[in-house]
Amino acid sequence: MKKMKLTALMLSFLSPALILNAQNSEQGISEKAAEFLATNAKYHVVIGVLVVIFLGLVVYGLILNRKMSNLEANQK
Amino acid sequence: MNDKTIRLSKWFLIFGAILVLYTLIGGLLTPLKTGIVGSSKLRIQSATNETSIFDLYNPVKELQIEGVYLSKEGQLWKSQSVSHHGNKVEATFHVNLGSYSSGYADAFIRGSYMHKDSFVWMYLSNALWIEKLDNDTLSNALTNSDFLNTTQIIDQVQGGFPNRVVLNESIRNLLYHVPMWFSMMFLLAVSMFYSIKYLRFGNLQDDWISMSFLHVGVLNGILGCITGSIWARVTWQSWWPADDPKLNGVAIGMFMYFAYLVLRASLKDDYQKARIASVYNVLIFPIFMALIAIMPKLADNSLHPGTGGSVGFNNYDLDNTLRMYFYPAILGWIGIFSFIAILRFRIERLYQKQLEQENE
Repeated sequence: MKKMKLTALMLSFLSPALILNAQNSEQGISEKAAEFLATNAKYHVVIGVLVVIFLGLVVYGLILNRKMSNLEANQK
Repeated sequence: MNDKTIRLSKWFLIFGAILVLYTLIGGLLTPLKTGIVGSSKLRIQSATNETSIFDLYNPVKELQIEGVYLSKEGQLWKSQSVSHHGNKVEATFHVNLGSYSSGYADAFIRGSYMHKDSFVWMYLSNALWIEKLDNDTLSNALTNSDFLNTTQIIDQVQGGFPNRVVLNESIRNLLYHVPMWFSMMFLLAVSMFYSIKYLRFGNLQDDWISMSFLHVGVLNGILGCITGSIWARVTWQSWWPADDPKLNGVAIGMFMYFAYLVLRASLKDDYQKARIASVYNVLIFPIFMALIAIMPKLADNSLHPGTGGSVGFNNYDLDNTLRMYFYPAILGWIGIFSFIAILRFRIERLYQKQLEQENE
């Protein structure tokens, strides 16, 4: 049970907001870094990776939801 | 909270995720509008030919530079010559201040946009200092500035996110930092609602819901602090500017909620725990709102927009392109965190039922 509580918290902690902020702040600091990413198409790779991580977390949330429903049904 | 809401909670996550995904992709791919980010010279002398190079950010090929203007005390001086290569605009000035004294001048870059009859301008405040020399006696400022009436600010013509001097690309953080606070306020309001419900009806489940929403709300607050701190480092050069009333309010408010967690953990009896925690929750929510929303507005100075006399995001930076992503981001994050709060409540309910069964 404690493990599940921890997982629910981890879901929110691992939200991509943190990753995005780190990325945005880098752009704010260095225009050259942003330009470099944009000109060699790495920018899209970064966005792609973020989307994949986010979708992974959403799917994980749905799996947790189903597990909870099964546990609740079993308890009844 | 009935079973129907719990069954629906997975849709909170799905709709929330769709909205956040939309803001994630659109919010990162939308380019910033063209703007001036700096000047190669910070100081020029009057009555002398001086050349300065202005850096443009995200220049577009539809923009043809016509001239660079320096503005000081309501007077305009136009560049004698101008050349534009990529994101560099080189301008040569011969400024005679005449009766005006030395001081900072704002820079305007004027150009045609899309076709030759449509003019736009970009602006850089306090771009350079004009030092007045002794042989500068007669002003050569423009006498006719009627052309400005037919010139629009580039923000009104070009698509994209607003380009602000201090914020630059970090303006995208609005889509992640601010929704954390909105989401936190929503979750804490729900938590307070269920605390009142518990005090009225005495159902322990209401207390568990209140606790779950509060836990996730506090987590939202921590995420808001982290995202804001990174943003502050980039724009204000400090991880936590100590004299900002909003930040101080948030710090005090967060400690009040940490005290709630300690208070709850210190009590053993479930009903006593629920009653005291509920009363405390009902008490601190309005105080927290006053600390983060009302007190900063009454303060003299603040770095946050819309507080302490500073210009609000709504009036200045939040244009329609940003709004297209900002409002969905708020709804999306509220949906996702509400799902997590409900999941947290279900775990607590399951745990309590298990304890009951073991005791029987």
